[in-house]
Amino acid sequence: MYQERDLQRLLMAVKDRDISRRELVKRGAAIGLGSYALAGALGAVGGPARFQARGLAAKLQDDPSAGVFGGTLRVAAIGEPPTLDEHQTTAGITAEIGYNMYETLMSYDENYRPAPMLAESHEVSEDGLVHTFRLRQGVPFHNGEMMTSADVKASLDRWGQISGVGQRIYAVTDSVEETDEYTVTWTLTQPYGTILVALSNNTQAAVIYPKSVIDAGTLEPNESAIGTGPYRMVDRVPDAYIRFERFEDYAAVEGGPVGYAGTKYAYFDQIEFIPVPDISARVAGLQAGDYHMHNQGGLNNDQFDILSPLSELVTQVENPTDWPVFFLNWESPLMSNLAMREAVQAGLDLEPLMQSAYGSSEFYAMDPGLMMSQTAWHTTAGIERYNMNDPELARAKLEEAGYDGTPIRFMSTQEYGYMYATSTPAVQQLEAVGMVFDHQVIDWATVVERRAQPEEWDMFVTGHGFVPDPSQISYVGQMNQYPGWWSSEESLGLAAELLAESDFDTAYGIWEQIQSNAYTEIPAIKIGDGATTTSRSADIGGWSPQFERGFKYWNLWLNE
Amino acid sequence: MLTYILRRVLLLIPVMLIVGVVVFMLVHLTPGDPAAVILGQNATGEQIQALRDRLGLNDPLLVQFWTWFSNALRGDFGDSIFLGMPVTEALQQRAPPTALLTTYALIISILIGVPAGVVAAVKRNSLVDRGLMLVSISGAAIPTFFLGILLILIFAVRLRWLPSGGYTPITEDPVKHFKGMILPSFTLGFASAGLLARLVRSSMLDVLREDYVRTAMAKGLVYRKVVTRHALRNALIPAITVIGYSLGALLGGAVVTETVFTIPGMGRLVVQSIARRDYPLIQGAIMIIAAIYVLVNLIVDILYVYVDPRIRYGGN
Amino acid sequence: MAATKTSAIEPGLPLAADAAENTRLRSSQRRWLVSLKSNRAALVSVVVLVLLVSMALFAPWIAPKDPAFIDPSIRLLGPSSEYRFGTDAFGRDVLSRVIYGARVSLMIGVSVTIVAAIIGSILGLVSGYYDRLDTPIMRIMDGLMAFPSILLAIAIMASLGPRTINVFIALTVVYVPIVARLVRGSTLVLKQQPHVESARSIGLRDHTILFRYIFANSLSPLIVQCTFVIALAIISESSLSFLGAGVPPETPSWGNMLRDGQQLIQRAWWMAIFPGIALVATVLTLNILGDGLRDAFDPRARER
Repeated sequence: MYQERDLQRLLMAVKDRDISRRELVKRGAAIGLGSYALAGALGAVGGPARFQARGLAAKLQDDPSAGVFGGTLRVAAIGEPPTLDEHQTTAGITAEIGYNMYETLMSYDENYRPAPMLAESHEVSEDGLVHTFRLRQGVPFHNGEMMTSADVKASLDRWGQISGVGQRIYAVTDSVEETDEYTVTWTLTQPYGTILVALSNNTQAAVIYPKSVIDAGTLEPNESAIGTGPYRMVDRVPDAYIRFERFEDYAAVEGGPVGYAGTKYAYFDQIEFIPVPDISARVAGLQAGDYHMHNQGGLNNDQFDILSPLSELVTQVENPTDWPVFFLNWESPLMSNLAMREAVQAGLDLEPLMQSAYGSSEFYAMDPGLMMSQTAWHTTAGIERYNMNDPELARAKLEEAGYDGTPIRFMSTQEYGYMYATSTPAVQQLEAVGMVFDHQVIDWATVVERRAQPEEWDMFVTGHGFVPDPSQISYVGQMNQYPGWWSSEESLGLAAELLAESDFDTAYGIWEQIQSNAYTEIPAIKIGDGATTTSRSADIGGWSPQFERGFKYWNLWLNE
Repeated sequence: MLTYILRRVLLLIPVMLIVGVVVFMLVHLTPGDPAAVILGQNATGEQIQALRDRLGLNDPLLVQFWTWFSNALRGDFGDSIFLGMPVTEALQQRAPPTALLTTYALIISILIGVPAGVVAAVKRNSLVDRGLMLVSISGAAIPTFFLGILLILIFAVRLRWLPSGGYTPITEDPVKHFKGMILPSFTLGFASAGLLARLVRSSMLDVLREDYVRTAMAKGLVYRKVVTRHALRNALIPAITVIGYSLGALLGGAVVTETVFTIPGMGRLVVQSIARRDYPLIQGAIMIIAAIYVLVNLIVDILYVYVDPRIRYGGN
Repeated sequence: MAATKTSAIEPGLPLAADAAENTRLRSSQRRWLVSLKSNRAALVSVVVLVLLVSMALFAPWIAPKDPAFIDPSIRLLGPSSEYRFGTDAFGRDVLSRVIYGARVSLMIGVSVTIVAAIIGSILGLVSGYYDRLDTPIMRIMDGLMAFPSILLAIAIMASLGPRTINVFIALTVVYVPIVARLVRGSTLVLKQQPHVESARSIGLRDHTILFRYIFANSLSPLIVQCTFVIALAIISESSLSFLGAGVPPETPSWGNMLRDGQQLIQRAWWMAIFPGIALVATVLTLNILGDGLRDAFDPRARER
């Protein structure tokens, strides 16, 4: 309602020529309207003829096929990617930067359903065991080679060997074969309902490398970064910049953009990612016009008020993309006790935690769903155990658990601000009900190492990014292998069913039950959904409101 | 003189050995591991173990030390785990920003420090003197990063005269390069300028009391001439030591300055490498920084002996 | 001379070497108090320091609020009559944290200096007095001094972990060599002195000579140096916190507050500016005091 009213006002202003086109896009964006919505609405009321005569209407519509070629986009990145080998890492920054140069067989559409990317089509047999991928023809790699099924097989085999999801699928894989030059047949030993989702995903993505590069063994030392994407990497000085150039021979899919798949236009001559790990330096750089934008997660909501008044920037609050979560160690003497976990659950008042991590209420949502509300999987199952804030119950549960004041080792890190910002007030709340804490604020590398060792910790905080499918939630997909080691017989059985199921309605029922169990068995405690703030130069055209899996840099352009 | 130099050079060997042992021990006692950093947030334990094996991190420590140290002696510091390139190459890439930053900072500190010291000495005990000395003593009291933050806030964010950070190679665009280096160089050079000013002031006062200066004055030479021609030259001798040691301090200060201004130099590389647990890089970088530091000190000592023959050399 | 000139190494440690030369002049022992009293800047700094120390000691009585109490509903409030220095990102009272911060900074500064002075003096005395031990000890000290101090401290912190005691250990390791070199320098000079040689010739024990004749006479440059080391340690502590390798982040130290405040400086300037002022004021007064003491101990400087 609110948006419609504002939109009407904006459109009136355009008609009366009170505000410029650029202002319109900026303000429209500020009230959360995608350019598509704006363009449609403007068409409906009928833009003034003069306006179109100046050739601005095309740009105004932000039609992704009508962008402006040229220019160098400068992006302030939150850090240096640990590697450019997509198969290796789950790091979000590698995924986002990699999107420019690598492609996968399938990719997400605007509703996060798998859509063909390097595959032309996909078929699955009745019994769900044989998947046949027809490949697109005439797709060149950056090194000039043409993609064939040999490259696809080599890439998938490598991915199946080193990535977490890949290993799980390859555990139920009978064979992956090159049927002919442009056909790959994947035979499973049992149905794997989420195989296409897994192939569409972009963290630890099943990207297709040239077979020659895989055979040369140059991926791990990061010597080659060769894919089929719309931009190719031309230069990289670690911690200084990564530079991309338009891949002139890029073979685009026809039919227009479809979410993360479909047609990709490479408008920029060059894109530069400049690692600026310090947030205040990023903000100062955006203000000073040193960068056009930041990459995903590059802004803290506390910076919103500083950047939003600036007319040369478009600053807006986007959909939630992250949820902080506390893991409880089922293999530690303390937390293996259900009553103890219940005490932690009952003792927490989650809203102040979200406030301290994300600021005022426009920047977060209190929601029990482990699948975010923008997905079809969202459910409130288990809500009665979410955000309990019941200190009395917590004390009673502590009593029941026979807690003797042993310090609870709670690992947190400042490298991700929201982790420290949620763990610190949580410690204060839980200490108020009688727990004793050893709040270990250490660097991320140490957290990751220690959390793999069951005897080292009782709790740790981390964040979970948006995922389009519940199988991709770390402690659902990897349930008893992910640190915390959620290992109830019932939930493990449900998770196995969920992975195999390909019918959505049946799978949804299973998922509701799993989420409900997550609130009674308590492997982890979800805190809330944190919104993302973005800020970018008002000169950038083609901004897409879909960014949960990382910003897209294709189909964007610079108007000046 | 030659034996003095030779002796000093020989003494560097045990020093570097100690540096090597200390660095290696520190780095390998540090919890956390590079494999976990590379594999990202949701990596499994087996993936981490597999990568550790491939990186040779599961070998016995003594074996690792021996491999590393014997190679280091030949100038080979191995490959960076995180950056995927030889350590020496990574350091070569990062050396120019740091070298230029420290050089500019040194120049700034001399340009500010020496005149300030001379003026303060000549106008001894005046308001100017007290003001200058208060500013120079403040130089050492403001942490580099705090000064840097204040300067960014004023000159980059409010006034928009200068960039907030980042680095442009001088070969790419000299104007942009210098614009970008003004704030960091000043931030880094300020403390040394203060130190230098105080030192020049006090040695200037010493010299102004010397007989030959008094004689020159008695001979009726103009005061300014006496100051610039006779006194300053002699007063600068002790300043050489401070300039030399400042260079060492500046190298250390560059770590913080590079972080504040996001300059991709050696200091920032070391700090980042510690967070990334990039063992070969931390070890190599600290060895090289320490070597530079020690060499600069050596050169300063030799220079000092050379310009001031009153210093006894050849031992204690 | 060749031995002592290398001891003034870092900014903030000016001219301590000059003072070392004057250790010979035993006669000036009481005069320094008189001299210090006539130095107005130094007197002011003493007063400020007394205030800072009492602020640290009586923090629980002075601080208006609990410095650790978190209330996100009042986060990032500007200075007001209720929160004179505003609140931080957790809704904690900045004024109370600045007051408690004096505890952390001074405690670290002073304890590092005392321990570094004790260990450094022993190493310096032994190394300067016994020729056999000189080389091994001083080479280790040289090795430690070859690291830029902040890098050495970061590396130590990374391997020991973020605890206050570890900051103390890391900074002590960094500052021991400075003291050791200074004391060794004085020792080398003093052991040639006639009264020390005569003490040796009448068969006094080594430790008596070392402490009664040599250490007692190198005290004044040591004290001067120590004031500067306190100041340096306080700055290093804050730099470590700034680089994320300092005391645990919830500890109200000035360095931590500056780090938190730096990220939000445009949004909430009060978070960085107040602890920044406190830090600069403390280090400044320590440096002025150190200068004053040096001038007081050093008759040559006093003439100026």
